[in-house]
Amino acid sequence: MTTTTSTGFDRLCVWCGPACLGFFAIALVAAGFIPPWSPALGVDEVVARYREDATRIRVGMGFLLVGGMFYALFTAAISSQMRRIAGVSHSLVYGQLAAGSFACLTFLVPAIFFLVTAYRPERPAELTYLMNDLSWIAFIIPWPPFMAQYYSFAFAVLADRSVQPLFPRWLGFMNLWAPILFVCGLVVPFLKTGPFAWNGLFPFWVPGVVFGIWFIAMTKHLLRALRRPESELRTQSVLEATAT
Amino acid sequence: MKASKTGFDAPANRSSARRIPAEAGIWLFIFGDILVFTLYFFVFGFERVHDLQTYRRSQAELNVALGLFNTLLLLTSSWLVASAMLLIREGGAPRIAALKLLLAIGCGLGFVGVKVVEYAEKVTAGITLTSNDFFTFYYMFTGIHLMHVLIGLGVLICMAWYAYTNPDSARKLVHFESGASFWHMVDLLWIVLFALLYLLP
Repeated sequence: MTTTTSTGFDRLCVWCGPACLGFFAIALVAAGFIPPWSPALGVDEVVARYREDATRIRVGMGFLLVGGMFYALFTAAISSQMRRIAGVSHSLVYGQLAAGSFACLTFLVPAIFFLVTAYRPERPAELTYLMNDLSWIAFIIPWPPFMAQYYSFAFAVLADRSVQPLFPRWLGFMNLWAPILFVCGLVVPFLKTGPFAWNGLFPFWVPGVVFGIWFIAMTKHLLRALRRPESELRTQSVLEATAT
Repeated sequence: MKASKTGFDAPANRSSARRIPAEAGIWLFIFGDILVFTLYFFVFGFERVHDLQTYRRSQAELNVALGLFNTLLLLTSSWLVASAMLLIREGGAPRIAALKLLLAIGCGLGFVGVKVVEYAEKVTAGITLTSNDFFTFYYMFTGIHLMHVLIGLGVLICMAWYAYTNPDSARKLVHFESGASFWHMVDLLWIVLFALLYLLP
């Protein structure tokens, strides 16, 4: 059923995951967002930063804008492999796909906001200040699509009744654990300082690290799943059915 | 004769076989959660040392009696879950096990109720998330813990329902152990939270 060419494209889509992560990391470093800006910065400080660093912000956010597209292809790769799980729920396969596509916006929208903010740094200070808030909050807090995406995958993996499941069970549990750590984003709108602010340990650094770990673990196991021939999966399901 | 096709159909020699309960994946989850909560506790400790006066003063506003009651509720529920697990493992009386799980769920719901009362008490007294750093930690930590309690209750409900409707629940022992382990973790986290937020001198 699968030819060398189509497997090649499947593999390419999996490698889009690390590409996305790479673009994301480059984006933040290039824009000067490591460490992230504090919400407690005053108007003058924020305006000064956009005026001095306009170029690097534009370059960095360009990378973020592009990085988003790789996420779409990586999501597709995940659903493609999920489909091969014996008896998998189609709702979960499409749920992962839909939520992952939706999550591409979490790259696109903040990138555009930052780019617009840095477009005319000479505009009135209050406007730049507002746009800065808009950009950072849009960047840090949109976690729900990721929970829907990772949980769809997790449920499919944990419901896999095969003798040799396509994905290891611990990967399913990892996908249950990761989004819980993103939930701290909910309190970002309430605070301007401390470990729960948008530059804090819990809404920024912990999710960032977890996001990176997720990409690496998923890439590895997607490649491994890709290598399993269709024939092996089909005979395995038959064994499972005759057991009852 | 049904052969065991997956690892979840527990063989009959449970008492003699030495194995780690539940499965690797849930331990990864539990370890990951404990790791993150440990990070929370360290950050709390660090911040507290730098602002001892505020933290002590704010701690005095907490309702220790309700906190203690909550602790007792969770400890009781964990005991009930462990007790139910014994029954399920032996495969003897799954319906009584289901009843014990139901009582554990009741304790968990009690915990949620007490938390609602506690939060309401504070909010009406004007103490909110942004009142000061201590209360940010208080609401965040207990809030995230409460989320875990709600998830745990869902897990217990599934376990209770399954035990009630399946006389041969022992076959799915690994799943039951996973659920029970998660609930015990939730209990453990609360004990540390209670000590850290309510009791630190």
